[in-house]
Amino acid sequence: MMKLIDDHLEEVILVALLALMTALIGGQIFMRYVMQASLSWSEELARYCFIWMAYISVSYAVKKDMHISTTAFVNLLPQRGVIVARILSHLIFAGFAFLVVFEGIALVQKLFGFGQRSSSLGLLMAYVYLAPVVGFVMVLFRLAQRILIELADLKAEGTQ
Amino acid sequence: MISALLFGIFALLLVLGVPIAISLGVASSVVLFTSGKVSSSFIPQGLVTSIDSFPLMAVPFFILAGDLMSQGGLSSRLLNVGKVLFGRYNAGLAIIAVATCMFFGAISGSGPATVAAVGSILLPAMAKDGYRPVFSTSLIASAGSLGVIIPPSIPMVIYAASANVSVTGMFLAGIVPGMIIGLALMSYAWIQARREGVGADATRYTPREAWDVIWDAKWALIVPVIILGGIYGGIFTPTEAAAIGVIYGLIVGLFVYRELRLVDLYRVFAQSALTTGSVMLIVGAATIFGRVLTIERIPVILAEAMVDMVSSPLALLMLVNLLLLVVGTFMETLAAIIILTPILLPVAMAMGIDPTHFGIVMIVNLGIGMVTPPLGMNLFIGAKVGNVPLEQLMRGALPFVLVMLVTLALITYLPVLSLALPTWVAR
Repeated sequence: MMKLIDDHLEEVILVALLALMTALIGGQIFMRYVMQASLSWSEELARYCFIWMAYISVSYAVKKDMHISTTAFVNLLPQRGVIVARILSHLIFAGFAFLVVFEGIALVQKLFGFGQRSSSLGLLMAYVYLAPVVGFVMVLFRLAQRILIELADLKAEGTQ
Repeated sequence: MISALLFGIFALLLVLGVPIAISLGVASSVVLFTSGKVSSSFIPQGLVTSIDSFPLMAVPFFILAGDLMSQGGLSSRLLNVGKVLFGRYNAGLAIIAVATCMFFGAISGSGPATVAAVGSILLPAMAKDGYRPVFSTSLIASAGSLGVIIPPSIPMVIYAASANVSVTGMFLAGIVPGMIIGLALMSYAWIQARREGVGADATRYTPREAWDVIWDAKWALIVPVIILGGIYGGIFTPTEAAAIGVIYGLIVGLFVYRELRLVDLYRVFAQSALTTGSVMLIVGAATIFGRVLTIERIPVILAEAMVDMVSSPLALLMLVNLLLLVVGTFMETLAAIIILTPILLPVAMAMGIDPTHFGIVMIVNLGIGMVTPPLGMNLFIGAKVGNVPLEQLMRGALPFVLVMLVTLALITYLPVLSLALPTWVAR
């Protein structure tokens, strides 16, 4: 069970959000041209799904080791150096993630206090701003996993 | 002092291999905290507001549409049409390769996707006809850049968002430059392949067979009409057009050509979300970075210095070309656009350069960057698809890069090539 969540958690959420976005925009066009009735809320909801999708996939990208970086310089180092640089880079990433989570929670609390709502759906804006917070909490888990993997690699490298 | 700190930290982290988005975020955060001019809640806030944008939502849809269409059998049918039209000429496949990339570029918005889609079906055919694998792979890797230059184009969506210009305007401006580059590559490849003595495709078609092939491809041939026609005709926004592309790709792939399997869908959707996420994080972080730049008045200072230094817009464009070519070799295209637009555009506009033209110059440059080492995405994909060593491919692509550089000069110095269409439509 844990393994299933570990393997597919982000993936399932992302696929669902993207499918929902497609359906919303498709439905919006269908309503406008076929039913002659423009929807006012579909675009807004799709945009919020997009924001959530973006930040959940930040965590997915850590898991898949797919974040865009320039590795040309680091790859000049010997194998051990590469692994050490990668661990260092994960730690810096984690530092930024902590900052986003910390500041993000403060912001979300403030927004809940204001009770600000979105223009057409009347959704509490705090739920939209929660996206980077949740995304980066997941990032912290994934980074911890990656660091453990790199440490194991480093150990394997040392015993050779 | 502050700017040295900002760029210094950014460069250091980049060299360390920290993801670009995080390098931007950390550098900006350090500066925000030391200067104390902005509340630090701007960090999570900027991450959300910067991507709370309907135009940017076109990015996942265009990635998805391109993937669905190449796996759903649309690209192989385009290729068949090319064979019917040009197959009987000597070295005809060289022409078909570029033409298919151009056409696929008008379906998808990404360079690597174009290389993968066209390369995987065309390279085996070209090898059978006697093309050197290095030559044919270099050709397709280079022509793959047309995927981002011919609309729709994901980098254009990103540029339009950062430069605050219209996506439709960018899409119109890209047509003529895309055609010119396509024709230039086509001519060079054709001459070169004939010189190497490549013959014609052996298959001959009766008019009846030829018609059948074209008729079978109708669902693919009509896609640019739907997507681009819909955008230019004002029927839907670029984002809606991209979503239509997804739905169309799903329907044709699943029910008409039936080459798309439901199992593939899950993977294709997840892949598109993954690519989008890593790009959107850069958009978010670059917005914070851009905010810091603006507070520290760096673009203004830079613009003043550049205006003093270079006398004419042409000289400036040349400088920018050089800078972009260098940056494009080691930085991913979308990241480069997001980071450089807020820095370079004010300079360009101060010198009277049109922002749309500037965007096209930038995108052609970065398109060339996709085929130059060390970070040339098209080369990586080409090497994988064509099963050619990367080093040989880098050398093989050189003549094509030169051809593209010549067209880049044309596009840079003749703004009318980019601007005629959007101006004409706006009239």
